Amino acid sequence: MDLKYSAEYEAFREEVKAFLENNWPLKGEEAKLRRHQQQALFRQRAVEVGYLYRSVPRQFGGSEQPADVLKGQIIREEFGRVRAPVELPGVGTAMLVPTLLQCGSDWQKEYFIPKTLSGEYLWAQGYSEPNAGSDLASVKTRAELKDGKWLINGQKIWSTLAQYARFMFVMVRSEPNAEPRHAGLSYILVDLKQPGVTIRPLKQITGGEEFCEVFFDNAETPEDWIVGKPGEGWAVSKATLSHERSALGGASGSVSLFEKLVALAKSVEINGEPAIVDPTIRRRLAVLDGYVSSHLYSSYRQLSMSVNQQDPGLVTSMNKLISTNIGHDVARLARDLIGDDLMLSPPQDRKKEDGNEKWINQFIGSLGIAIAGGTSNIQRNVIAERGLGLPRE
Amino acid sequence: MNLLLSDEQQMIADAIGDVLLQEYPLDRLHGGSATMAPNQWQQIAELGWLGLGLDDGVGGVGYGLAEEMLLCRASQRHLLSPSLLAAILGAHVAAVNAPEAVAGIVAGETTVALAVPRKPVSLLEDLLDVELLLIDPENAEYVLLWDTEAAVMLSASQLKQVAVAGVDNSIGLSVASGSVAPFVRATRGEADIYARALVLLAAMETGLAEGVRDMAVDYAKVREQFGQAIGAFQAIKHACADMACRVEAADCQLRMAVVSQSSGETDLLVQAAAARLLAGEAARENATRNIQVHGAMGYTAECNAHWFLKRARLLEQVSAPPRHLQRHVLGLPVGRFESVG
Ligand SMILES: Cc1cc2nc3c(=O)[nH]c(=O)nc-3n(C[C@H](O)[C@H](O)[C@H](O)COP(=O)(O)OP(=O)(O)OC[C@H]3O[C@@H](n4cnc5c(N)ncnc54)[C@H](O)[C@@H]3O)c2cc1C
Repeated sequence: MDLKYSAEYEAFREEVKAFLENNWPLKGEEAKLRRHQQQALFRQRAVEVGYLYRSVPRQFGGSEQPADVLKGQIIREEFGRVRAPVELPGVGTAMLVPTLLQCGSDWQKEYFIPKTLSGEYLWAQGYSEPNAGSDLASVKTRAELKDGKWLINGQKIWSTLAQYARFMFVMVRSEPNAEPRHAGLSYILVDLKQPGVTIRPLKQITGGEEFCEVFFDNAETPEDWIVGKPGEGWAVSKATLSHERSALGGASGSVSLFEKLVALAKSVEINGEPAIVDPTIRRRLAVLDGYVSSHLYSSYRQLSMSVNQQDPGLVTSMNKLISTNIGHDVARLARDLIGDDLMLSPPQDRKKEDGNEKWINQFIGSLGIAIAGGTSNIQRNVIAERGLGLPRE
Repeated sequence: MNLLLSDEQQMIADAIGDVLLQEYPLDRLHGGSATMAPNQWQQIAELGWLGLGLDDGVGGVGYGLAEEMLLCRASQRHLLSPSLLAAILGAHVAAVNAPEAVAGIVAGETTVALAVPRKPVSLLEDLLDVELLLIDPENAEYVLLWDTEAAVMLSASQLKQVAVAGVDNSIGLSVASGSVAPFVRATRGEADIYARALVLLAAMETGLAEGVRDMAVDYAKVREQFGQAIGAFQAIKHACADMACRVEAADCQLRMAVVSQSSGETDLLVQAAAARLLAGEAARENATRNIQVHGAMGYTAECNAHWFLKRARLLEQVSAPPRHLQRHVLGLPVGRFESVG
């Protein structure tokens, strides 16, 4: 255990600062490029010097750095300070890339990873079906091998941003007779831009359309677009994510959310004084602060375990639950601080959020987080059954 | 002391429930709105709903707060517009100092909207300098607001209004401002609108919590995962049981507040504030849990779960935010164990 910012790390911080000073925002002619081009250019340079996609090998477009939680933290802090572009969000970089690094074939890594990291290839996750939510092993979407191609039939649902995605990593049933049920699953990659695929966005309670139904009607994918072997889909999807971003992403989100909450508590008044002076508000903030910090430390531990080839499985579930609870607590406290602004609807474009209404979005979003990626109930079951050895229900 | 409904009250509750079930299914909100059309106002006026608790001498039906409570509770199982409450309370205010306006309100011809002040205003002044959020203001002739000292109705046409998007998109919302003399005012001594509003809002929130409980239970019986109904899992079963307990607690406290009012107890404000605290908690928590019970389906606009959640978030801001309620409950002498009924 060692967490102090030694001289080495302070020197690293200066290095990062100097890089940012010279590279963001872009200068001269480059500052006239379109915004996304500027971001892409900057990301490319940040990768070259080793600040982004640190756990991805150079040959696949990453910067191939030894895992180091403190350096990761310093990069996030300094990039955040000047609002420089960070790693792209989304399931492509967070889930598909680490999975391919661990289980993919060489050509798959070469073909998919660089363009996913650059943002050229957007991905959707195709696990859930109308009747296979928590019970993922009951997936029914069929994939059959015919004339060197997989033929896919069935339906996926709740696929986040599938309407904009080029590809989907799909959990399919390829071995219909295998027992137990999850032994019949495979993890395959599918090009969504083909006649056999129909995508229908669904409206969420926020008013936005951020997830979709996806129908496969004799959709095709080449035989070698399977990750792992037929029947290994379950294991592939659970592959350890020894990837800095996926381990830390949630925790740094909690930290910045908490910082916004503290700013809110300073800006609103209770009984003529800033709310942050109120003893009950202070107490609640202090408790929350503890959870947020420990969430961050827990994610450091999760990363250290992954790096040392230990299975952080249980810690992952606990972290998801903790961050979900932090989201709920923040929403509750924000509610008590804001009052009637909560009657106003937040703008749908999150970038335009300015007033206190944005906390409504945070609240509603926290409900989605408690469901997406495995519900809180299921996380508890995993912790209790696989972690603590309690019998199943 | 008797916290049970009389036979007549039970009949009224059943009759109200039947009408709502037939005429106001939740699915009407898809692509539609909770704002009531003139013929709908007329229909419920003909049933006597808008003057239920108003003396017959001033144009009401002559029942009391208990019957108003039953109506308000049932109304939020179906997410009727909160303007129902504005009409009920508005008629009480008018009965005090503008009796000529009662008939129009009770007949459903004059609509009233609820207003929530965005900045402090003393309602006892002659000229009120207001900045308000108006709930469901479409077609409203008057807007109603109140504080602990008085209730006033303002003429909507004298306010400058700008429509804004509200969190509860089943109804409209606007920001209104102006410097206006009230159309009518009733001070606390003339009519205790503050306590009445607390009780009726608690009733609405309790009804909402009840509707949500039933929705969750129904779904838990039919949705299957892992080869069984999800209601078979304790995580879901217990969540439903907790919802039922919240409703039970809120409902008992609500009845206690009604009894306190009808028997002229001095602890009405405490009872009413306590009812609202429990009811608000029940509405919010149940609505939130219901979404979890429904999984991703509960996160879609297609599923009715979100209407309840959004209405609960809206209602909690009307009249008294929780902080003020706590003050009533903890800061006033509590007479709840003294001779009630
Ligand atoms: C915002 C959002 C984004 C999403 N994005 C994606 C995506 O990109 N790709 C994708 O594939 N999926 C996605 N999902 C789907 C998500 O993975 C599922 O919603 C989740 O796994 C739950 O499945 P379900 O919705 O069918 O709920 P159900 O499984 O029907 O669960 C309903 C309720 O029953 C409970 N329950 C079920 N089984 C048990 C049990 N054994 N013990 C205790 N309680 C139980 C659940 O906790 C829940 O409360 C997304 C969901 C949301 C909300």
